[in-house]
Amino acid sequence: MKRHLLFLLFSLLAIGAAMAAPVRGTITDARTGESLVGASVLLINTRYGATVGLDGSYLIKDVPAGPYKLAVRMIGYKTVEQDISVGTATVTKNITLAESGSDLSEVVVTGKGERESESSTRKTEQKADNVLNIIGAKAISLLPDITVANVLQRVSGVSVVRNATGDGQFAVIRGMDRRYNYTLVNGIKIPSPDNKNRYVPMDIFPADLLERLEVVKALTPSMEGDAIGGAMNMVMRSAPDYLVVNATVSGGYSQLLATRPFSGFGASNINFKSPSEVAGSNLYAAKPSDFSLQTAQYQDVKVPVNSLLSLSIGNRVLNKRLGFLVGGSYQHTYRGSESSFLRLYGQPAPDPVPNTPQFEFVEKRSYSYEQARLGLNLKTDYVFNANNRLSLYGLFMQLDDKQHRTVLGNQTVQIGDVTTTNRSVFRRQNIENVTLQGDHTLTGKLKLNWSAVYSLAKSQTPNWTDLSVTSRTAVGPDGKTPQVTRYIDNISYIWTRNNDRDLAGYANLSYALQPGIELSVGGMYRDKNRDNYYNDYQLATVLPGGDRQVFTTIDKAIFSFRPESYAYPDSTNANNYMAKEQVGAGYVQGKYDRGNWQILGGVRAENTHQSYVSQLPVTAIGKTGSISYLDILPSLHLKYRLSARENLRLSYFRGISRPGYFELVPASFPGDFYTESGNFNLKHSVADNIDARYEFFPRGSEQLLVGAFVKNIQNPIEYGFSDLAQNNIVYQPINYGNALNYGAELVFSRYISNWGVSGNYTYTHSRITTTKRVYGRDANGSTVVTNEQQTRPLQGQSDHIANLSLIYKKAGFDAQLAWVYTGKRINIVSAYKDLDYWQRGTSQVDFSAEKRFGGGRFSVFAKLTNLLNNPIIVDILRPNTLVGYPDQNSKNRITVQKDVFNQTYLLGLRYKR
Amino acid sequence: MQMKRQIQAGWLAAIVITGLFAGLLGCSKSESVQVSAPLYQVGQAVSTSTPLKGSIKGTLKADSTYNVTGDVFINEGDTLLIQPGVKVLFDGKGTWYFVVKGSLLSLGTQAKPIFFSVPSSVAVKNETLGSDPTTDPAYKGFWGGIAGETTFKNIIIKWTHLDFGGGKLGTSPVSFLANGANAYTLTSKNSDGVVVLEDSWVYGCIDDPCRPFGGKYNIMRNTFEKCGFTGGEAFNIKGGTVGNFAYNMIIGMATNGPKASNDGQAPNQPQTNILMYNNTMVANGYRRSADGRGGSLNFENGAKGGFYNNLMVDSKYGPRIVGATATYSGNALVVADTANIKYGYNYNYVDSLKMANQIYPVGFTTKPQPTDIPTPSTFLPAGYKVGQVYDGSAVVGKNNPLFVNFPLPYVASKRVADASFVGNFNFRLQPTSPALGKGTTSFTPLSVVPVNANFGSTEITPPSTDMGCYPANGKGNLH
Repeated sequence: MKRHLLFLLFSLLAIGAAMAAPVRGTITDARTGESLVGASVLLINTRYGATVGLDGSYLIKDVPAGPYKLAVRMIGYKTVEQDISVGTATVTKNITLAESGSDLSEVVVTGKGERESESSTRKTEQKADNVLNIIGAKAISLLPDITVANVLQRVSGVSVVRNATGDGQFAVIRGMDRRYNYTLVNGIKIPSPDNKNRYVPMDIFPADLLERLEVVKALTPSMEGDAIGGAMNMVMRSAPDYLVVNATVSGGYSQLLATRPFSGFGASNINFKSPSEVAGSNLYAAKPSDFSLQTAQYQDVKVPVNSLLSLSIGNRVLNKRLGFLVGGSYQHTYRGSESSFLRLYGQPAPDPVPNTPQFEFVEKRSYSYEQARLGLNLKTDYVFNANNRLSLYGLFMQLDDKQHRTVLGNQTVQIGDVTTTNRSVFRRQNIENVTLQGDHTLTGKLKLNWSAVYSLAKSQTPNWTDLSVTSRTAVGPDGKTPQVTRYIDNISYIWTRNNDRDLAGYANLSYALQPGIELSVGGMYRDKNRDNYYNDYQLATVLPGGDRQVFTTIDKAIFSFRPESYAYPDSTNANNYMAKEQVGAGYVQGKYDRGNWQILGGVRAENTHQSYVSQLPVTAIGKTGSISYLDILPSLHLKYRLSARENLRLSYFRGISRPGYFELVPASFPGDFYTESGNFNLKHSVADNIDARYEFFPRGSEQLLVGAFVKNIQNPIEYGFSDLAQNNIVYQPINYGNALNYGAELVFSRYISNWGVSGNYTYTHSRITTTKRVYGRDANGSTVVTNEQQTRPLQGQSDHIANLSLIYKKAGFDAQLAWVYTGKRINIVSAYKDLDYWQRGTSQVDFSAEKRFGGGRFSVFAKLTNLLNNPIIVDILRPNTLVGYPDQNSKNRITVQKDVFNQTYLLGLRYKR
Repeated sequence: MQMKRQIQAGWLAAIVITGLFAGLLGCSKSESVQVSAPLYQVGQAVSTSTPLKGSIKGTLKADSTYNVTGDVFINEGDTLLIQPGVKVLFDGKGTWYFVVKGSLLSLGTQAKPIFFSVPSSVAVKNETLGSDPTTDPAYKGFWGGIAGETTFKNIIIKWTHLDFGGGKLGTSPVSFLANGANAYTLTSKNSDGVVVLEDSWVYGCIDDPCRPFGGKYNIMRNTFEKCGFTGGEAFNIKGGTVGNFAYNMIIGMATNGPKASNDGQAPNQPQTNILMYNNTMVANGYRRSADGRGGSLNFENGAKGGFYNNLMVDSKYGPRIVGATATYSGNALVVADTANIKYGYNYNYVDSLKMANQIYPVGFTTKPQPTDIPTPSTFLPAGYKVGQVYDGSAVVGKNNPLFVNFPLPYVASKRVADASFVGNFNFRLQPTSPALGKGTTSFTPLSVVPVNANFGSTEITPPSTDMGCYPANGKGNLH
């Protein structure tokens, strides 16, 4: 159906013109004479237009004869409009643009069509008030990445945390873990569908809906203050001034699935509500027939072809007053990975040396992930008059994830039980946002901008199914031939979901005191409501008489609730909780922009009130709680223009990071070796950040940025052991004094004729000291456990992060070979000393290319990822004495995990006008 | 000559008289005083008219019946005393716990035991041999248990029936058990707290009836029956627990009797150290569905201690000491503190070759001791190495310990697992039993709890050379 529509669209739009002539010329800076690469030149009320190329010229082909109004637009410059007349001869128009000086205050929420280009984004970086990095839509379309999470890794100082199939999911910015960063859509903070945390999984967002992606590394007073690493701002495509149509269709394949089948499962019969909810009572005793077996019926997908579609249409109608852009993206992908695990026992051994890692066995894990990602984006604005504009923005994101994981138990067992465990998880995550915005010029000098926001993030995981089958090998009656019997073990189901609802209002008032001096004040208020639901059931397979059940097929299995109490919902599970949060903030900000100096500074106050209701018994401390605090967050951003192409920046800001909602709740989760618990004494983190940066923009999309940063973080939140009460030592989030994080960044891009090279490198250094356990022996030879301090980098921080791209551009052809490197970093912090899981430095090489044809409106593109099939390898940095285990190739480290993903290929067609 | 004879007769008489005198002197008896013991009382008597629920201290009056309709808390510094003959009946409408933050003293007597149980309207013991465990109320759990919180001082339980506990929790009233988890009938998490379970009966539980996460324990002369539905040990010991487990009669556990591990030893907690001696274990390990999980006693994951004089009959496995961290039949097992585990003088009787082949479990590090019965040299091959496969057919049905009333070889209506309760069986030894006098007294029980009528152990019964929990001197298990 979708394909038919697209075809119709293409046919309609491919109608050509009869008598025509080209319009050409150069566009330069009125003051410096510099070529304004990326400026857009268009004939108003037509579909004709062009972008200024690397050499500073533009060419609009085949313009039908007639009178036109030619407009030249460039971010940071005043728009120029000229009347021209086209006949049969070439029309040449060379135009100079004057800088507008004040059109770029902080991160501007509204945008125009040509903000997507590479040179425009460089310009924005140069003009911006604060330290940020931008990737525009044009660059994104040329990248090998299809989700925002994967795009993020191309930004300097950003590395990603991957999911089990190697797809990026969360961003670590400048060594600061995901908890220290936030996500904006069009400058508005969005809630997270994560069940416990604030950070947003970035793989929900398809990359092709973006106009540009900004990573803001220094906050201004008008921005929300809870980012220490940085803020990721996804600026969605906005309403253009003329008809814009973008459509892509592509198909792809994962190489891994050529080596083994994709093992999926159906989810059509899944009930989003658990049996007790369907029955409407927590006293309902579930019956085995209440549970769908569909999620335990695994089926191979014959042709696991990935399909991606996107379409966006925008225009300005009603006498140019109403602008709109509707974008939609649908991605349906199959991915897989193969993983080998050397499973570590949860408690180390005291011999021969304290905290000796103990290995249980080698496990093989096989993942099949099917994802359906839907993104809808609507931007409309209505211009009442030159002074008043109203915009409405709507966003709907849905990620359906079907994950099937097969864990093959120890393959070395010859006699006895070996268990194969299958887990199927269907998870639907949504982010919805509606924002109404007004921009008003009250007087010539006073401007008002306001937003009213409704956002909802939710995640639903119904019918999560864990099924294991145990294969028992016994010696046969003849004493030799092994006999194999397969038994079905208990099956368990989980229903879990969470909602995070935000209502927020923003208002900003700015007053232009004098040319170049602007004062602004503003405020915001957010009311957040969050709830988590968790329920699980375990069905027994024990047969009457107490016998173990032989497994044939899942539909023939007999399930029962034994003991009968298991038929009741797990409604008291500590994962059920409610949390609320109200944040009120106000700021005063001044901006001075004269001569070579630009100074932006001010102060922001944020008042936070959090509360929760938990499943603890009334007799426990902290069943409910509320916490309030006020932060005063000053910031100062200095920019000195060394020349028209060079800036020096120095900025300071204070930022905070609030604990996750659930980290405050003292609900306990007893484990075999220690109990985990929340901590209501947890303080939010506060950090003072200093950034210095030299920027050089030689021409067009070339750049050189050299910077350094230092962050002093008070009360960073890390996990460690603490005494709750006598003999009750729990593992919980704790504030650990101060942490210092500093580093340096280098970003460059350089073009020589058709070739370009761009890259970035970030060095980061951070240290934190936390308590960890040591399990050893005392002088008498008895085992003893002590808590010791250990200093280490922050979790997720790589000392070295680098990107390097080789770019080839020729008329109508772009190609890019991209290498991303993430240095060694801690993946998992162990509760025991010296047993952290370190991910080895990993590389990935991707390739993408695009060839335009049909007058540049059509293009075919290809995206190839992970060309060298680089695995992800995780080690424990301890002497290795293991013999006969796979993947062990060093005496100084023990490899505990190795994930292999193989290549993915994508081939597509794009239409653009 | 005559004279000489007289003198001789005189001497003789003197000797005889002296002998008689000495004999009479020896036969004399000091006063035999029989007075009643004072009925120990603490604080105020608790009324029987209001159901028990919430914070309670004082005394539950002798011979009274109390109904429990919610979790009961004994606050820090408080003591709850239960006098002999009290019946504490849980309503079965929730998995209620007695949460001890101070002290709980359940002081029954042989004549007047105390009951923690449920009314007959909720559950009645099924004493049919070979009953279906999936329908047997023993494995359903109708109340929670007795839990020593991180601050508790004493849990003293004497001559008390703990029946039908260990259900599935709703909201957990204790800090160390999860909401919705299986309860343990007796549990604790305070290495400084004293737990005494003596002369009592533990009947039924979904999982482990007794699981300490730290404490000083003396578990002596008790009877454990029908515990663990498809998994569960009579005494599943975790890190930070020390004490004795002796003279217990254990029948019908899903897995082991006692299992010691040092899992989760925390700072300020001692290493798990348990001495298991003179226990009688019959038909254990047969409701554990997974393979390779034990069936008598286990030492694993960093635990130390010892085991002597245990009488094991038809156990799925003999005593297992984990000697190396490895996978065994698909289960990960973690090495015990093997250098610090002492043992010997243990008695195994088996009715099948499968059991015989696991008297010294294959893959484990339990060293055959020459003092064991059957004598290892009579059935292990020459050059036997610890943990190797061997043919035990020579000892199937041999060395019958001759119980007073329990048929061996065991020929039940169905199978060994059917013997899961004591009922009319009598596991005392006949005078001709080969298990008599074959044990050792060469070790000293651990002295970690005080000996005290109210706040400690009545008696830390020393070892007996008679194997099992019923020594001929009558000083062992009194049930």
